[in-house]
Amino acid sequence: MTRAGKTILFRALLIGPALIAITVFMIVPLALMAYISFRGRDYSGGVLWDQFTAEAYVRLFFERELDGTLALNFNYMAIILRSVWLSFLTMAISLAVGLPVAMFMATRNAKWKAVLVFMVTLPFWTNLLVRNYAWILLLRDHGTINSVLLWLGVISEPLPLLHNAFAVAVGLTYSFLPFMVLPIYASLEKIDLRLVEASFDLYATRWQTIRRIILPLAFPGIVAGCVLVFVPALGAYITPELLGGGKTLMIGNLIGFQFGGARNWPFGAALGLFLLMLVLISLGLYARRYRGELEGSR
Amino acid sequence: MNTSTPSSTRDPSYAQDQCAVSVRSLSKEFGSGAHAFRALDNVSVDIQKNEFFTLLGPSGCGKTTLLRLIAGFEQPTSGEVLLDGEDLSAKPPYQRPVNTVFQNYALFPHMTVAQNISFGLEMLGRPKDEIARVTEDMLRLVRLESMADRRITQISGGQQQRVALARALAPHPKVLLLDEPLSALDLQLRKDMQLELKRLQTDTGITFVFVTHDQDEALTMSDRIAVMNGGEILQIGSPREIYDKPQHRFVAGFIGEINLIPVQAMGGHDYAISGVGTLRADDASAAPKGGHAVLAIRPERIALSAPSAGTLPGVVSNVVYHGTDTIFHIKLADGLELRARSQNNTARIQSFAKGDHVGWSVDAASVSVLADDPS
Repeated sequence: MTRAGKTILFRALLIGPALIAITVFMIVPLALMAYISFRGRDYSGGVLWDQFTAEAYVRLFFERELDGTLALNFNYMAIILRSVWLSFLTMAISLAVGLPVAMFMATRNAKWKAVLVFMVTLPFWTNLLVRNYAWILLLRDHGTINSVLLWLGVISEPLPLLHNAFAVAVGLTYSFLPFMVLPIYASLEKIDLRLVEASFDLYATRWQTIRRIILPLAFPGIVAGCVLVFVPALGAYITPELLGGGKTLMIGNLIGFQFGGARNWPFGAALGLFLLMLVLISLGLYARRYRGELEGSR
Repeated sequence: MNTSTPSSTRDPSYAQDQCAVSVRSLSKEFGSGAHAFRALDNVSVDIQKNEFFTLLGPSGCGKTTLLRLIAGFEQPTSGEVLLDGEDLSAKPPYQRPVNTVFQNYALFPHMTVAQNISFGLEMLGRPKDEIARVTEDMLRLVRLESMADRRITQISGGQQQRVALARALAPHPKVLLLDEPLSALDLQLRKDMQLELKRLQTDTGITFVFVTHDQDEALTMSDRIAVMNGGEILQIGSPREIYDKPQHRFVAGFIGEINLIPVQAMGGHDYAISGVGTLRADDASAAPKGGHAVLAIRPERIALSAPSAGTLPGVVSNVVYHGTDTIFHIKLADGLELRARSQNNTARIQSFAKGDHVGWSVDAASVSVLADDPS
């Protein structure tokens, strides 16, 4: 074999495993999903592989009447919009809570930091399902929160805390808060404390120092945290299922239902791709908008 | 340079009236109980206005702690810091009309050169046109006009150093604190910056308090030097006083090379080196007649000649050639070894070689008499 040939073979061997992994675990499933979304629906479950149709995408916006005419149907769009809104709310609350927590953690000494990071990750040691059931116990009509409030006399009737959007938002925030705290903490922890001293030295007050020095330097961590909360919240399944009580559906539940009870795989696949597009577009816009800051503070 | 009027309460005041830092019985302990470490021990010093004042000492001597106490980054255990006669103790760093050039510059990485320089003025709430004008003045002062819009990561170490200076000078502080600002630069750049710093201090008329462990830097730039060790100030004086008349063994040994010769006071100005002879010193004796003392003599002040009357005997034990000068190691009868530095200012070759018997002498004015205290 020639020298050049050997080099090419060597490179192919090096790149090979990564290429195979990406192909098997990403490209093939996505291609399969896209393919199925354009196939016919088998009412007993599964797909009519030999039938091409865009029916699944039509269903996103239209309902087919008995006589075959199309009528606008916003039921699915409403669920998608609610998913986006709830995910955004989850992200905003997580940011509002997570940023001060991360700041507190980053300013402790080394021993305390280790303890606090451990405490933030502690919920991961328990199953997400169990943790969501725990929230049911807290939020239901005769649950802990209502009982305490009734006992204190703050309220005379139990508050409707469970099986609504509020419960879903609380559950999602609780589930994904660590994904906000940890990246922000990581970026705050890297900030040279001498920069803070320099800022004080140059007449900046505490608040001005946070706004002009700390937040811009922690910006990549804040973006990472927002993405890590928003994206999984958008696809959440367990939390809206349990805490939403079947009334506050999110897109994840809708997709689950299509592959299960509704036996409409092509529509489920189309919804999945639609969700993926939604995430990619919002990430793309975000990256475009903040490209300067993200690069500058590296 | 700039001549605008003082405004807000956080104003470091542009007017140059009585600029002086007064440090009174300042002590600083870190930790507590059995683990307490006394970084600064009852230090008092007056720094005059428009002075280039240097704190010189080895690492851990307390010089940086003193600087941080003046800046307000640390709170003293006891004692006080006065600025223009006003007690600074209750003021946080952002209310002190004092700016710092940090050892590693601590420039804001997410800002451009110009944004870094204008930061202090912005925080003081100065009008936009003034900020723009002063920033431009500062860029010119440190010769970085063409770099204004560069990011901090896009300029060299020497340029970063000058940005740090400009940033600290822009609000026109009453006192500029410099924490080993040159230590990260290579030798040639450091030499250039030494002169540059001195020029800036003269041009701006701001009081500079400069911390360094480099005796060369201290001697080149300072109006006065305070030599520190173990949390105390051992001696304060002009570079010439510190070099020529060290009053303390540590000061003598820390700054430049020096010969320390144990002697016995003979009364008057004479001191005996046992088994060798007597030396005269202009200094008043630090020891009673018959008591022990130490003579400190710089190598370049020892004159070598052929053995003759009026000189003390010794044998050349080593010759080290340095280009501009040659160092002769002279062994004395009592086993002590001296170093004598002789300048190679003529092409005539010095005629001493290893093993030669020589005579050496020192001008009485060049001899410092130190107490024989082992520290």
